[in-house]
Amino acid sequence: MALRAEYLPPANPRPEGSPGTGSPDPGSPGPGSLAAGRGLDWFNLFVANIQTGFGPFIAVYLSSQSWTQTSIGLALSIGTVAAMASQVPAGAVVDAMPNKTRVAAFSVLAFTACALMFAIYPIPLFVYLAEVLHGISSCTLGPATAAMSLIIAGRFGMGLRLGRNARYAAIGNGVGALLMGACGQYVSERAVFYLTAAFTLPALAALLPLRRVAIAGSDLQPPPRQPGQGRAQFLRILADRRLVIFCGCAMLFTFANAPMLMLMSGTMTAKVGNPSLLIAACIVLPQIIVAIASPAMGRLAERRGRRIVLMIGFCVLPLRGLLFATSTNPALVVAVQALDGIGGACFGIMVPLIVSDVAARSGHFNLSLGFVGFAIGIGGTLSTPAAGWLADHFSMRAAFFFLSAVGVAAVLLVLAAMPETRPKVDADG
Amino acid sequence: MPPDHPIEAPIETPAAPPDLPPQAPPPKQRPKPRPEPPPPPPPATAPAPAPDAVVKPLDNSVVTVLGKKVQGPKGEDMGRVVDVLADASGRVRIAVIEFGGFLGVGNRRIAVDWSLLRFDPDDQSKALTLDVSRKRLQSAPEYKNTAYPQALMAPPASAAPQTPVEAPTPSAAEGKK
Repeated sequence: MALRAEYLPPANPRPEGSPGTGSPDPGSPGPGSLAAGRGLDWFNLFVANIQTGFGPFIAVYLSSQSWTQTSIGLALSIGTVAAMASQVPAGAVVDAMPNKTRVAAFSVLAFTACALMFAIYPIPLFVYLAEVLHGISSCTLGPATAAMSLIIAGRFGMGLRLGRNARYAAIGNGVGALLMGACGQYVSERAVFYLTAAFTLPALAALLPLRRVAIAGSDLQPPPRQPGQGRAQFLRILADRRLVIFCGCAMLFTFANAPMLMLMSGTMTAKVGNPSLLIAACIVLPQIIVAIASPAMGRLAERRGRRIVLMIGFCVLPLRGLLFATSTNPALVVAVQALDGIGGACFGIMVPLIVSDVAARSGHFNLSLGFVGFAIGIGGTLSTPAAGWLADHFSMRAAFFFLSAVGVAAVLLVLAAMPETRPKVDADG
Repeated sequence: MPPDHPIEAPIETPAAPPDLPPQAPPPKQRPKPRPEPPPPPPPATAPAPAPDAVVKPLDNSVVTVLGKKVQGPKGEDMGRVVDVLADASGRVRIAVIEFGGFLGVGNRRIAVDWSLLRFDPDDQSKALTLDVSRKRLQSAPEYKNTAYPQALMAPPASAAPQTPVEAPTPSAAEGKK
């Protein structure tokens, strides 16, 4: 313990030698990490590419393989449960791993295995296995990516870094959706998973410049631990009021956000000539907005604080719900989807940013991310059936009003209880 | 399409044909959802009064249905069959087809009358044909597993069996769990 403490940076909040602190602009990555930053950009892009194939498309693919609706439902539930159950443990595991890049690489390799299992041999055993594996490795990959970002950018460059991450992830999502959609339509459903497996290779390659990224000396480095302090520290982080409130905000936001497009698309597509094209527009347009808006949002979070960005993202959500409730005009729906891009950009950046504010140097950064991920998972899992039930038993409009109300509750929670978490040291604008 | 279902598992005379071609695996049969009853156990060595089923060769006049693509009268893409519904007598009444959407988002499920589907057993890989215009299919109410599901039925008078059938949209299908 004492030996380790020797080469620890001094315990001031902006340790010397920490990347991101040496340069005048707190956002720019430290010297030497330029290549690493580029690598992280591409990594985010390709991972987003990969994840498009594992979404709701799996249900389509399994139907094409003569799976019954019951078995498909079971497979998807297994995936959901695996992801939910592994959020928190995966966070703890990533915390314990010294080399976050290696964690990311293994997670991507797990994706390769999942995609190949789906593509080559979609029998129940392998599909269930792939669902579990995908659930777990998603839970290790997210925190590992956030940890690499924190190491590269430092706490004070984290907002800008996450803005970049979100931009490249959005590009990957949009391009991935178009490629995979076209592949499923014109080649075959199976080919989508071969394409997914192929995308894991460039994702791995993008990690190469990051392979020497180390915790030591970075803002992820926990302070030297006093004997017996570990558990107390751990509990303190989880009982941190800011983290708990943010978990609540994130859960409400996801609850209101997750089912909106699903709900809308069913009715809207009944009216148009080419429903697939319309849905594609509804998926890709928000990604374009995210790609455009994310860096600005990251900058805003660094200059003006987290609360303002959080408020922007949370406020557009009930607005979107109300607009959906009033109109099913396809053109308007696509336009309203742009709001989803704004909300997505804010939320995607704020989750790792606020967690890094709260827990970066606690030694439990990834565990804390896992907790927020768990809250998000609960919100997303509960809301789709709830909204569907409302739409079936009352009306689509009632469902959208309900989701908007939940969105308003999220806004109120941010307004009333969520404190500003931006680190104080850098208080000048 | 009532005549030929593989459901008529024969409870036939015990004239168990001694030497059937026991293989000739039934190519692709059983247009039923997967939760199928377990196959009857092989008859015991004991006398065995009347076997509950006998093995017979199955000709190629049946096609698999689940997961099969569906096309419109003009060959346009109309999704695929994801479920079939049968009534108490075991007769298949409804095919549930899923179509539209992009990458699994925004798919719609429509229940259609079994008699609106045309099959071509000669080409096992060919899509089924649904004699309904795409527009009609698209505007049909979504099939939901609720108390009062609706389905796209053939017109009651069975006027013209060919070409886009203009089915009255909200003709309710009996709620059959």
